[in-house]
Formats: sequence, C-alpha cells, structure tokens
Amino acid sequence: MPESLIKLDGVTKVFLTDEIETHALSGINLDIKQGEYVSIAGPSGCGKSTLLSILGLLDSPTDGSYVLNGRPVQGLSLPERARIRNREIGFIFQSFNLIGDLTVYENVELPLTYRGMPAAERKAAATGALEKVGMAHRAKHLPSQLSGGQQQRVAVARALAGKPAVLLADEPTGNLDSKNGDSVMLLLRELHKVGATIVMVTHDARFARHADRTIHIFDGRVVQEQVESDPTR
Amino acid sequence: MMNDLRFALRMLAKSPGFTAAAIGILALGIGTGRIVSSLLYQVGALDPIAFTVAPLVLAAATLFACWLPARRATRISPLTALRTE
Repeated sequence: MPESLIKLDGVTKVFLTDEIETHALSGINLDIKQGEYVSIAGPSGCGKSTLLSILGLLDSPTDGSYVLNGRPVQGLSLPERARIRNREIGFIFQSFNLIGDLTVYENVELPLTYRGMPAAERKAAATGALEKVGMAHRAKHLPSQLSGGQQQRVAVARALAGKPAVLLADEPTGNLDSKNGDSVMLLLRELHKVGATIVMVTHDARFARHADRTIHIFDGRVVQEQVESDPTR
Repeated sequence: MMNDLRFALRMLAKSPGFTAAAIGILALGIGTGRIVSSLLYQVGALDPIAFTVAPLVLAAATLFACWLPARRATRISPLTALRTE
C-alpha cells in the first residue's frame, strides 16, 4: 500500500473582507497516496483553486491540519514554506506563468538556481526535463516564440525539473484549444505512468476522467469521490 | 552571477539603441575631456580617478535604485503575484 503523500484533516479556509466572512473551504478531509493521479472537479467558485493553493503552500488554512510527505506544514513560516514549495511541489498553471524575458531553458533552470543546485546538475536536470516534454529543441527560444501548447509543455518541464514529490496543475488546459489540451493531458498521463503524483484542478469532466480518482467539491465541501474504473488511457 | 551577466548582455543586445547610446556617451566623455583639457584645473583629460569613481558612483546609485523595488517585490505573497500576473 503506497504511503500518504498529502493528508488534509478538517481543513477550513475563511476569507475576511470588511466584515463579511466567506467560507471558501469547510472541513476538507483528503488523503492522496504516492503515485496517485487525482482530479479536483467542481463549478467555478466552489473552492477548488483555494484548495490547490493550500496544497501548494501558497496559502495557509484557517483551521485543520495538513501533512505533506510526513511533515505537518500548516503552521510553517513563510521562508520554510517557500523552501518546501521549491523542493517538494511542481506547479503547472492555467496561464503557463513563464517569464517572458528568459529563454525556455532559463525558465526551466530558474527554480533550481534558487535551490542552490550546482551549475552542472542544473544543466542536466533542465535539459532532461525539456527532453521529457519534447521541447529540448526549443531551449533557446523565448516563450513568446512558442504556441500555447508548447508553452504549457515548458511549464510542465519547469515543474518536473526539480523532481518534486507532487505535481499540482490548476486548469492546465484552460487556455489551450482542444488539440493542444489533449496533448498536455496525454503528457500528464505519461508522467503519471512513470510514477508522478499529480493533483489536477479542472472543471472539464472530459479531462477529469484522465485521473484515477475524482474529488467533487461544492460550496467548499467534498460532496463526492469517484474512482475511475477505466480512466482514459 | 554568470546568469545575471548573460541576462544583462542579452538585454544590451536586444536594445541596440541603448547600447549605442551608452558607448557613444562614454566616447563623448573621453573626446570632450581631451578638447577641454586646457581648461581643466589639477585634473588630466584621462584622469584615472575621475573615470573610475564616476562610473562607480553611478553603478552604486543604479544598484540601490534596483534593490529597493526588488526588496519590495520579494515581500509580496506569491499568491498575490500569481493573481496579478
């Protein structure tokens, strides 16, 4: 039985604006094992992106506990969270979030630079990640010279390069046409087949079916968990 | 450090106008110094101290002007930065 990689227990998130309390998450319990491919689905505004932000240590829960890779992380300081984020988590965003002034190679290498990795190791890791996503031949290009699908592949390479414990994808196909969307989903599925743990937020049921398990969220609560008997593969 | 240098060189290559202006101003400084050398008092036209200290002071001012907003940027929460990108 694979070990728990992510364990949330009674996680809530309340946003305070003026005097209004918004309950974005209300008592979320979640257990994600190593090597799982999980999708988080739900309508717009249901709290799925807030949940992904908490899973990615970009935000902290108002209440509840979060254990990542055996370590409680809900009460860590900002620098400690940044350090864990850099080492344990790979992000794939809807709008790619590549740095326009850096080349493809430099974008992939940048998180490794912040980690203090020696130059030779950085080169091997960045080149290896670009080869995995089939973008090594574009290493010297700028993001603006690539199509949306290619930019997302580079973003996947950036997320992969540091060998994170988990890949978090927030609507990775949201800004792509169906052909490029399918190609990115295929890439994620291939990465999962070779052992990557993936948590993906999506509101597209077609893409949610690519995962082993889909967690449906509504009004900040888990309303249904669905194990795919035959994930699209 | 080498990455920063590569980035700076690429920015210079991408802005040929700026690069030409920087080189032109440097050449103009040296040329003007020579022309007005007879008017200079207790300083040579190619005075090494003047030509070293002035760029150093300018570089320090530039670094300070970059450091201030960079420091402010590092204090922004990553979530806010991602939302506003």
